Amino acid sequence: MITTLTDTTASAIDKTMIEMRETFGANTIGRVLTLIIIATGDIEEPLGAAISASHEHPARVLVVHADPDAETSGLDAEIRVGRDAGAGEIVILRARGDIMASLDTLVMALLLPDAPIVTWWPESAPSSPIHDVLGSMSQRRITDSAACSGPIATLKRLRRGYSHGDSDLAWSRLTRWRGLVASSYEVPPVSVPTKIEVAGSEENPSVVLMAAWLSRSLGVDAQIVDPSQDAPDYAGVHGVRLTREDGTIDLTRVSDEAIVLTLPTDDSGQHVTMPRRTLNELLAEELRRLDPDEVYGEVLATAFSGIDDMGTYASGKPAPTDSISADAEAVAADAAEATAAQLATALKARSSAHLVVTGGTVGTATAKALPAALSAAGVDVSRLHIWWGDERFVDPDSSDRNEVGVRDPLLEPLQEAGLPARNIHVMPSPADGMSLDDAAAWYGQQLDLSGGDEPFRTRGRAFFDVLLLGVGPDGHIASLFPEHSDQRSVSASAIAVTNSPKPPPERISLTWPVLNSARHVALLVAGEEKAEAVAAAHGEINPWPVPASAVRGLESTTWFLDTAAASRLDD
Amino acid sequence: MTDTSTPPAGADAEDRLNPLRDPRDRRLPLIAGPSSMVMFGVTGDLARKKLLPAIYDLTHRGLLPPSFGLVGFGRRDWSDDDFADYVRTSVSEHSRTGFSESVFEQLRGGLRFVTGTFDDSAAFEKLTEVVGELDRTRGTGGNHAFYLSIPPDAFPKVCGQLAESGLNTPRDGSWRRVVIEKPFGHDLASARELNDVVEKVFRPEDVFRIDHYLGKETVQNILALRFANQLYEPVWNAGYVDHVQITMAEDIGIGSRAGYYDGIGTARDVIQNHLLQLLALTAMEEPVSFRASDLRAEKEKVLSAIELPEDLGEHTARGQYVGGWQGGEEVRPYMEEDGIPADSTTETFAAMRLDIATRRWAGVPFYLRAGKRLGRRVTEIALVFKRAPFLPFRSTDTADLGQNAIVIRVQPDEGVTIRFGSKVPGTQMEVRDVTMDFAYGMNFTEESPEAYERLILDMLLGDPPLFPRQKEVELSWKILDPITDYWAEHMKPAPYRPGTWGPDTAHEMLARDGRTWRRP
Repeated sequence: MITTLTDTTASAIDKTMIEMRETFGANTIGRVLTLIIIATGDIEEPLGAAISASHEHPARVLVVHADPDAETSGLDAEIRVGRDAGAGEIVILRARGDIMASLDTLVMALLLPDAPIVTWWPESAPSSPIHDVLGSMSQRRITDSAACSGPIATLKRLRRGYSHGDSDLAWSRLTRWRGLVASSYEVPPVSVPTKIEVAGSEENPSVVLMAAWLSRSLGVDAQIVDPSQDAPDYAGVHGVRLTREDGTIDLTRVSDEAIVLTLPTDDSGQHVTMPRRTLNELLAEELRRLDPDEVYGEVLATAFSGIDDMGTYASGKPAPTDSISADAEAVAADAAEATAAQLATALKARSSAHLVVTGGTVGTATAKALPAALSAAGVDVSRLHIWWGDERFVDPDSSDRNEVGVRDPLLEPLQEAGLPARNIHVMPSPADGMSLDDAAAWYGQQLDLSGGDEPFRTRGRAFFDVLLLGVGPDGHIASLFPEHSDQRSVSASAIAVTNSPKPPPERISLTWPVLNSARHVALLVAGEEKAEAVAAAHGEINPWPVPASAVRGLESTTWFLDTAAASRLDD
Repeated sequence: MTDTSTPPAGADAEDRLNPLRDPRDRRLPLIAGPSSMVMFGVTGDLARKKLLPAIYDLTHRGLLPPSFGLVGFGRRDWSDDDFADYVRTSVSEHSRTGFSESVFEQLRGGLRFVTGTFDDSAAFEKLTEVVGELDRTRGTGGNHAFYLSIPPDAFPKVCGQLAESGLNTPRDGSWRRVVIEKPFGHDLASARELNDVVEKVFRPEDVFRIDHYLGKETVQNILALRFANQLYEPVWNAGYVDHVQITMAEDIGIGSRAGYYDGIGTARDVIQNHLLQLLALTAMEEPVSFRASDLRAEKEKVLSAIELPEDLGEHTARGQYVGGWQGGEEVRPYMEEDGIPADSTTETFAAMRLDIATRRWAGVPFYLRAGKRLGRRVTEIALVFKRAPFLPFRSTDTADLGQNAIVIRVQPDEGVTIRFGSKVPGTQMEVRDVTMDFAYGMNFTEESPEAYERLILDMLLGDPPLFPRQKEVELSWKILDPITDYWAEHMKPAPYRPGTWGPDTAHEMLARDGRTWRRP
């Protein structure tokens, strides 16, 4: 049966479920886990898989179907039990507007006590599942890189953000294939292959994982080769070929149903039935074990080498240019004018534009100059989003906070001009009731939610339109300090920084890949004391000693300097 | 999971050899290694309805190697194609996972048939050739299992022929296994005789006794409940448990099994193997590991500690169903079933009290009962607890309070039920029994081919924990023989109405101890 609740709350849903249990005697079988599905598109297909899997794993299924852009905030729910829910029970949460900002509290009342939580993103994978507010409380985090736009890029991001308990359906799609390859390996006389080829597209995550698994397990580099020209167009692995001393073992997919195995002793070909796996099977397999799949983690790490050089995110982009003015005031005016123009261009092309603001003397001065500049450039501020590159984790009204510095000169006038409060993405403070780590993860998630699946790549599409950054005398930007270990953390979009060399010690900062996902970067510097840092940052990209050298915009990077700050630049 | 170190056999050994099988990679399906199976009695009912479909279903699930070969051996003058047609018919009628042409094609490539009788040496030479051909062309690697789906009296001939043709002897690194089905004899002497025949030809660790009823799920569930939890073990002893009831009831009659059943009876048919195995798993001490040898050591220990009642007449019961209406259906009495002599004294219901002479269980009787045409189909183990030593309630408050119980439901509706007292809402203070239920999502059914799938796969993988060894078989006959001897001399089966819980003598037997049977 199906019960629908409109404009409701989690506690009302919980109450309704208890009433339904008492009235209809539904839900009497023990539930073994809570499955949370974060849906962005069609919900019936993943829901169908969940219902099918519930026969093997009786679960409470929570589907979060969000519309963050809705005009008003509110929650509708649909409860399905009995025949409409297989052996489980289903709650579909249709969340509108700001509710998405506190997803964890939305589901908290509906979680089964003590039971494990599994979160599944059927389409849009978060950049780091463990840092997701729901992912962080889940034992198992299931993504499907193949269903995301840019599957390989997604898989790379998942590798960067990998944590024990992550799993991807591109990996479970391989299970039967892997079983077959493992059993073919055992065909006597057993010997380690001298050559391994995996046929399929390099753009397919399962193909990449298969090659990585074989390379890692057998210690022989597996090559990905294009399937033969006349091969039908299968997604996924077309074939695997192991070349041994005694001949070749070849497994080739010949139809959606079957594979042909050729052995050194018998080239007539053995027919092996291996239908493509359905979503139902994949999910049921994922739910079978909730302990970390360490092998997946290692295979993922084999597939993509880690990025040790944080400079990678900045490289390959247009070289920075300098814009030198007389003093700080003039620097701020120039920067504000350029920013306004860039935002105006952005809004011509897209429905919204994203601006990252900063603190410090020049940063605050630029903020002050912005309202007038925006107005002059004809920017529709109601379509603007404001973000911060870093923030101090102190009292919300402390003058240490970057946000407090721009409240009066920038935020108030813009709000008066029509900037919606929900477009101002302030980094949390201790007053928000979160620990530093949770606050950073939360902010990263707000970024992910606003930017969808695409943004935080080394290259490719940008998310921010303009990123304003101050530079410290030591060359730091945001809260990424020279030779400070937190600088190297890139698993999430935003990180917690402790022991900052500059007080206050606790901060939240965006990370390298995110800072490098802006179209235009503006570095705002004035004063002689920063001249040396500016000079150093004009050298090679070298993030560890000189963070300011390693942020670049996809279209432009501009140093807005006064003459004093530019004094050490070589002519 | 094997006891032997040479030659390597079994999943563990293969794990070590194959770098693709990372023990942490628990997703990877455990597919049987290259192998073939030779089936004797392939035209029998069991093969047609259960074994061939189970092999097909395993193929469908991708758990058999692509090279798998299946050789039928029988009297019929069949070609490989005739045999394939036979397999196709059997599979399309009885497979669990649905018939798919593609899966059958896969199986088809490895199907062979050898015509011959059990005393035809030439036929066994031909069999040797066929098996060798499979090794060469399919890559079965010299690993062959022999499934004896034939009456025990044919074992000596087949085993002798296998020995003579050398088929029982593995080459380097490969294995030969033999599978036999229960009954493993009908008493201690016959069990030993049967075993001598088989173990003369195959090594003891290569003999797999299939007891399809005791599937892996049940065994593993009991082990998990007992040894993975802290909650139950402290009360799992004579200090808290009053008695244990193990029931295996069927609501059907003997059907077409008259030929086998008459003269054997319920005690030999199911108590000797199934119920005593359930008892062993319930009562045994914690094994040091779940390796086959360690599990077996504990089961053997507890079976050897079982004591029979002194007066077997008082503490056992025996019954035979009469005719009548059962659940809306008129059924025949046992005496009138097809193929049963009118003066048969075979029992269709058996119950007995067993005691276990260990510190853990001294004074806790284990009541076993099994039968046909009982109230419903159910198998369960119930631990009934002692009453609380003191109840700070008025006696009228607890009038409805029974004894606490933990019930392990083996089938159907596999799960665990806990019964305890709870206050009735709204009343002043009234305590009544309530139950708390846990059901496994998946049902586990007695004769489901799934049991055969698991057993055949485990056998091919060389994973033996489920398969009883000869010692256990002999121990259980030692328990049962005195009872069946006594019955033959002194106790005729008492009649009981179909669809009830057995004869009055069974109820009287418990009443003597001041207890009653649970209604399962």
